Amino acid sequence: MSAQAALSIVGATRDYAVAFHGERRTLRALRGIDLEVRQGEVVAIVGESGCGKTTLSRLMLGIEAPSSGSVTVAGKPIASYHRIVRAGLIQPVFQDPYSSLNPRQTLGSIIAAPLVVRGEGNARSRQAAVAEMMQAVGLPPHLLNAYPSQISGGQRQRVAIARALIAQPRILICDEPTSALDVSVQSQIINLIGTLQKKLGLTVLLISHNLAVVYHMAERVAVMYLGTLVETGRTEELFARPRHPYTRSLLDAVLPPTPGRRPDWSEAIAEPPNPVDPPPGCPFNPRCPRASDLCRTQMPEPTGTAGGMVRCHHPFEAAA
Amino acid sequence: MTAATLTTMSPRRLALHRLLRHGSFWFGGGAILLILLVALVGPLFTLDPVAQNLGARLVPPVWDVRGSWAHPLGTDQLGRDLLARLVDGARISMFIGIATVLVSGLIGTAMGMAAGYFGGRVDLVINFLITIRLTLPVVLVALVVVAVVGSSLSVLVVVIGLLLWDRFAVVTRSATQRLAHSDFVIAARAIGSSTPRILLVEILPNIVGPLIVVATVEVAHAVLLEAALSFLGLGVKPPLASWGLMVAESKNQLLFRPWLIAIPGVALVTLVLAINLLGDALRDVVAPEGRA
Repeated sequence: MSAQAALSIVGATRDYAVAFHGERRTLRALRGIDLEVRQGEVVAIVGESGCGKTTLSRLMLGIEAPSSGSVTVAGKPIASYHRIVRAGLIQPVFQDPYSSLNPRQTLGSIIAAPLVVRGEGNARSRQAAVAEMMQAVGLPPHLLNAYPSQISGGQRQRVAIARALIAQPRILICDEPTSALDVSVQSQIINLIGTLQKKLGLTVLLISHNLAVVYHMAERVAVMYLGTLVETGRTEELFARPRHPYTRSLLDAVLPPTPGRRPDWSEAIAEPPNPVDPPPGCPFNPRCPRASDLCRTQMPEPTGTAGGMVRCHHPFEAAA
Repeated sequence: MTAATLTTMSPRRLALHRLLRHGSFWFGGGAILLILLVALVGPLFTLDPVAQNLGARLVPPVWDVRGSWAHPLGTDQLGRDLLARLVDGARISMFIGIATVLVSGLIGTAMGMAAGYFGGRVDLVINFLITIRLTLPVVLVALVVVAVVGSSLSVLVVVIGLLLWDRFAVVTRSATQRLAHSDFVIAARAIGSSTPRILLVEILPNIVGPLIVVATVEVAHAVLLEAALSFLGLGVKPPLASWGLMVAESKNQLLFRPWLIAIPGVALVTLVLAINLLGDALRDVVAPEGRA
């Protein structure tokens, strides 16, 4: 693992005990994730609901521990940091700004909380820092003493971003930061995150299923399916020439095809498999038009591609 | 940029606004305030509640032809002024009600928050304790403890306080459970908040509403329990005046001088009714989803 990695995840798994048809079973939400993110890089993690994106974000935040494998931030395991040091390394922005802000606290005290917890400065210096941060994220100063219920969804998300950034983290984990917002507000928030990322040199992990947002923001994309990364690559590369059948079906499902043109292979339909009871072999085989007997028995190993990897027995050809 | 005005009120102002338009709040709150005022300053104006005057036993209240303004509510079988004893009894009821709820509220809230936040084994143990508590007949246990330890105001407060925490624990536990996995609590963990800070600063302010509602119900509960224990002779000791004790002392006079029982009885009913009405109003305002 290279030294300049801001965040590196090696073989991370995460199991949950669940009741499945009345019996105790293990739900393996993450089945061995390997991911390395450089300082200042914007990496998107895409995948459908229930594929483990949110679990992965909790592992990266150090709020949950991996069942096996490791999550390393700035050279040390995330669990080895004191909670206050950790807060200065990595911060989240959540999907739903209606539940991520305490309804009983004023915006001022929400944004100041990281400084209060850290015991940084006095009341006056914190107030100045909050005012500066509110300006940086585009919140009018008169909202200082307002409550979350009094402002719009877009403003709430700005508050959440301000709270994350006032801790001066190196890494920002944005878990679907726009999917709860009005379409007209989504681009504002995306642009805000993009601007601040460049200005502060932040490392951003963008967890999303909005491929347009991913294409706009991310340098690299990691495609997640049922707890594994099935393909990673540079954004333009991956969008232009997806190698994994799942990546392809994701892109086909979202990008409007040329009128009259049908996908040159039948779309992956069927429900995603239950993660408590995953299919043997490649987890995508029940939905994959290219599945062979090999796919139904053996899990494919990742193979390196230009700038990424693909985990498939029968990947689409890379363009010459 | 023009200073846009906020279109909605802050949660606190909104709750207050709704409360001020609630009839039960004015009636219940007013009656409680009145009783509290009487309990606090009343003794300055009334006669000595324990002074006996055997020459003036069983004087009827002023509205009876034999009554007089010397004893507006009459006297009891030992010639003690009933108004003075009623006012003194209000102090005892109010004190017991509020003090026990402070004890039980502290115990129940702490246990409920621990169970709801930590879950797992902590939850299991606390649930077990709640279940055990629910199987205990409150009056019986209180009677036994008071009979063994002896009775005093502080014993009563501790005993009743240790018996009435269950509803606090149940309500707090489920409310905390709901919040423990909310995004704002996870965000609080991500910014490095300590567990006490999360419990006290993030969670507690969000469950105060339902707790206040439980507290009002439990004050009424404690007041009635004290009256019952005093009536059975195991609560407040004579010559102190308690409404339950006043009823007990006069039970022989039920048929001939009913006012001796009716007056403390009406006082007790008024207080408990007022507390419950206030609780209803608070519940409508802070936890409307719990409306039955």
